[in-house]
Amino acid sequence: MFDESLIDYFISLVKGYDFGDIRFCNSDSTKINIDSGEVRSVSKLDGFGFGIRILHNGVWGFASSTNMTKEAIKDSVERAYKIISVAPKNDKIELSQNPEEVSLKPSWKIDPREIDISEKLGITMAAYKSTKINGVHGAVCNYSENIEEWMVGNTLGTKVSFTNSNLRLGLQVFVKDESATQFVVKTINGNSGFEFFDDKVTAFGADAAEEATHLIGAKPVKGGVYDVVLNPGMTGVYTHEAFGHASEADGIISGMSVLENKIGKKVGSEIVNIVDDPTIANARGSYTFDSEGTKAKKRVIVENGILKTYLHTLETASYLKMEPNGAARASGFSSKPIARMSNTFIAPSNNKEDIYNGVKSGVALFDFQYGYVSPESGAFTFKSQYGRMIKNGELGEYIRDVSLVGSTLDILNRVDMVGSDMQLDGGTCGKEGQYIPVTSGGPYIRIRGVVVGGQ
Amino acid sequence: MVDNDLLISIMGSLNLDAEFEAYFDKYKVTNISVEKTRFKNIEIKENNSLSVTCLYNGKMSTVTSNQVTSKNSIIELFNSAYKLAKNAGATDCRKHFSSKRGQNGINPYSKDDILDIGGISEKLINASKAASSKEKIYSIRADFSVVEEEISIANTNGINNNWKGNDSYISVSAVAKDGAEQESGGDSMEAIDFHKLDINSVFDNAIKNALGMLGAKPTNSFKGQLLIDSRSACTLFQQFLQAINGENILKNRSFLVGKKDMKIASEVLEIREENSIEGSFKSRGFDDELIPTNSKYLIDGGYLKTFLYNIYSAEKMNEEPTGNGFDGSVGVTNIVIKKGSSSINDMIRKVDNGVYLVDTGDSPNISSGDLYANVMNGYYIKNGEIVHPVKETVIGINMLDLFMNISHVGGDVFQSDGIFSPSILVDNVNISGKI
Repeated sequence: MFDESLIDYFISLVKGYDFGDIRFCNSDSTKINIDSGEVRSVSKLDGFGFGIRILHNGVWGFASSTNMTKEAIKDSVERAYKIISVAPKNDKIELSQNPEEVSLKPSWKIDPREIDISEKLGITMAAYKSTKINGVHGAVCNYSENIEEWMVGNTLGTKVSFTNSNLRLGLQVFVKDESATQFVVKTINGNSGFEFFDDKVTAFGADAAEEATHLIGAKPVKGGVYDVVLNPGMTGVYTHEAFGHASEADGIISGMSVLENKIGKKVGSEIVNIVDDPTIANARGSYTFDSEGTKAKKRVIVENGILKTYLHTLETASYLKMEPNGAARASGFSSKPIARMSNTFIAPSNNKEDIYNGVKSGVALFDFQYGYVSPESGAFTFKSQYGRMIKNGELGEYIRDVSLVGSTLDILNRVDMVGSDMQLDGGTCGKEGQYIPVTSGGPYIRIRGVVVGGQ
Repeated sequence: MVDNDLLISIMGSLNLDAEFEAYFDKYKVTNISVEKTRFKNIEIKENNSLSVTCLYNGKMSTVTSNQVTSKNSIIELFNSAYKLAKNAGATDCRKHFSSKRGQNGINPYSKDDILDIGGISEKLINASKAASSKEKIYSIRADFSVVEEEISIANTNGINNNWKGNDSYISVSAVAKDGAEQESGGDSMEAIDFHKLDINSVFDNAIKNALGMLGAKPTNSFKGQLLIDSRSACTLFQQFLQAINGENILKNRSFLVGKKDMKIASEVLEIREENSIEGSFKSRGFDDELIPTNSKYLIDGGYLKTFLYNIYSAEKMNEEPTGNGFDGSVGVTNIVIKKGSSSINDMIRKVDNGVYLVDTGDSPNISSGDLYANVMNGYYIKNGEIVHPVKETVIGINMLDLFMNISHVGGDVFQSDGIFSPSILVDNVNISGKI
């Protein structure tokens, strides 16, 4: 896959006791878009290169190249030291890591790169066609595949190589009534071989279509304060966007998070446990090593309502005098690793009670459409794809254009029931211009007295 | 180095029964970040990539690679695109690639100048230190970026176009704390010449916005006026462009379907696309489909004058392409909302009872036009005076009502990603606070 001797050559160029690391990445991606039955685009993209970092007296230098030669590595190291020489001085930090030396082969059965494009086109078209039921006004189907081979080495002795395979099929299904066109979005995705696409392709399309038809005639909800039930998709988006980003340690250091200085303190209801786990088999956000070569491990961020840890890179762990926990991720060879999530969720409980019980008048929100959050203040808005009114413990009419409005810690303290079911939804998370595959989810949860945005 | 001469020479030597278009993009971005009073990061990222699009018997494919260091690797890319188009090409309305040249001279490039990374970093740190010393300011973060980009496009129909541009950007986020309350605010600025970025002014506005949010509370629910800050107005008009996107019109996914040449806005709203504005990175003489761009009215005197078409949507709707084929769909060069003469303070004084919306992350439902926007940063105004900062308050209005109810357009203009918008004042808006 890669020439390991290039790591040794790189290390030989790092001066004195400076820290240095090098990341090689070879990526292949394929994308197909079908809109209203027409194949609108078919594209392939490949990228190949390396990025290096040098840490000298608390200052980072970074450079990258697409030329995989010793000369290019030497030139990159010189450029990194040049950046360091002009940068303002910082306090010195020492990085530590349990070094690993391992070369992992992918565990898949079928390498997606070996599959002919016509078969991928067939899968995409089959998913599209499965949405064609009465009431559906149109659909868009997107196939995407991204295979990344990585090799990471550093001056602490780490030398690891591994492969990530992200496969995704996404559907946007439209319905129309006299007042508006509405849509639902559904995806299936995994870090897996091509065997991932079995008969689930058409089943998920049919489910998406049926769900979309419920929106015909749906009316906007009147905004106000309600008791709320979130389905796993909405639980996940709250957990990822509002809480997960606030737990990334770079934001803690910069004073831009509501979770700063909260380790060991109560941040939510005692029935809430929040986990970020990159070791879940075949999940879209999973990986074996992070982009600094730290072995991936499960992180319990909140236990019984108490904040237990942050998500760390080597640098943030050193700065906060905590243990690195394998959360440094880079979106490609030309990007620097930063603190990121993987598969983030509220852990399910053993509670089997009907979650709608005891809700006299409320709103259930289903699946995420879009949203935004300020990690600094904790204020957020998450718009769901649709909702349903709850009356006397029963689900009622479908509603549209409905959103959850609140602040991160206030909401977490208002959770009074966590369900026992569990589901993860795949997505792509953006931060500082870097986009990485993740999942988020959890069970159904119930929250008392929160603002629902609507008409 | 890849250039059009090399691409044209390779295309001339291919003995394949298809047309080709090659798009070479040379991109470099320099990022400098500081947080609190500490230097955080300098990052220089470069990427050279070649995209080859093949048109074979009405089917199209695109392959892209950054491994284009040799002539053989480039030839391999052309062969790969040909194979992909032949086996699984996408539907396209084009029988041939464009033979229209477009305007090559529109290059939003400021003078070649070496970025003084050390000097800029020191300037950011000094501004950050000054900000951090202010009472109740807890944290500050600044990100400074300079982008340089060159595009070369050539095709088998003799087109040989070039574009060169640069851009710079600064954004600052500030956190203000008062006891247990923590609020944030920010500001940003964009200019093709990084010397023209007013770093201190952006820091001052971010601090003002963060401090101004301390004490935020919901308003009562009422119908009143909505003053949309020029920054938020840029976001709003970005979404309007999706509503006149020819592909969304074609697929019946826009609230403006059937509204061309109809009155959809107040007379005070005039929106133009301007393809050549000195000082804007979005200025371009040709689109990604090599159709010449142009300047045109989108809304004039309140009337919707045109939709925006790429080749695909134009062909399907029996219209002419409008030079708006960008990024595989429909896009624009620069969008200019005609400004008025009032300052933002004058605009505030025009509000009897309403909300000044500084920031929201929400956007309208393009198919229905309904907008339900949470006020992330804003103020309640009574009798022309700011009363208190606002949170957990939702604005509700349909976009057609919003456009029709615009009573004033400000003289302040914010530039964001090619949108140039003043603040706008809207009457009769539903404002819902906590009950």
